[in-house]
Amino acid sequence: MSALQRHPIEEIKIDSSFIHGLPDNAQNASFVSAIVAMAHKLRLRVVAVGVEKESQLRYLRAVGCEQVQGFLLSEPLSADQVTDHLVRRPGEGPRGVVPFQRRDAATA
Amino acid sequence: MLEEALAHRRFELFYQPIFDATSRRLTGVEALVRWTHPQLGNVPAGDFILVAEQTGILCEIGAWVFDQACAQWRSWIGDGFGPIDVSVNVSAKEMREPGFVERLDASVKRHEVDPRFFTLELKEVALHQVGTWLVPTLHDSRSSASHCRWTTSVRDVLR
Repeated sequence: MSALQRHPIEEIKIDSSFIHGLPDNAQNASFVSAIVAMAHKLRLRVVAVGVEKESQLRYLRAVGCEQVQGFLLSEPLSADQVTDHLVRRPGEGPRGVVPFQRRDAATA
Repeated sequence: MLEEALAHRRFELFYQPIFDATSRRLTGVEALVRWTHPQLGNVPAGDFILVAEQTGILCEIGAWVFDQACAQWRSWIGDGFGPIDVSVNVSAKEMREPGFVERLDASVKRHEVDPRFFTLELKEVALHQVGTWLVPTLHDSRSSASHCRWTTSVRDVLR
């Protein structure tokens, strides 16, 4: 933990082992909300890893976690598959991001 | 065998998308290396990194991964897409290797990438292994590596 103070870290990732039991596992839930609160106090951004369920994403959003990765939203993709989710750059427009939809959700 | 894989370009990068938790927009990707083994098929990094570390080829694989991630970022930009964040995993062993910063700089320059979109991701335990000097030194230097963001995993922070 002290290493966070000594190094110019800007972002922390919360390992999937803490996300797994969310939101019902009280210990996981307490840890995650405490980590996010601590990170924000230290002006660090937070990414949650291994998000697999909507209920986990809801909990993370509720405690203020900004970013997530995991199979709920996407498995790892090839470079070409990533390209499908990027948008063309309109001159000096905003960062190239698009809303992401699960393939199975899109066809449902 | 890993040396041969590197020589024969049997490594491939995959990208784990990272999303904004609220808007579900793609904000970036974490680069993940996979080894396409002639018999075993796709071997994830977790299954060969330890061997790579023991055989001393880890740094070469790491150099390839960062360079390839830079090339891909440039390719997306060249194709007219907006820039996304790219996160690359680095190990303590790699960081301690002489020339680590120089090789990051070389890739950044070769592919004309904007290092502000690059995040170097390391395990918290690696922070202890590299000592207190390395990351701040990189950060304070004028190298492009200093413009990369640093991310640590909280997995070990609570141990």
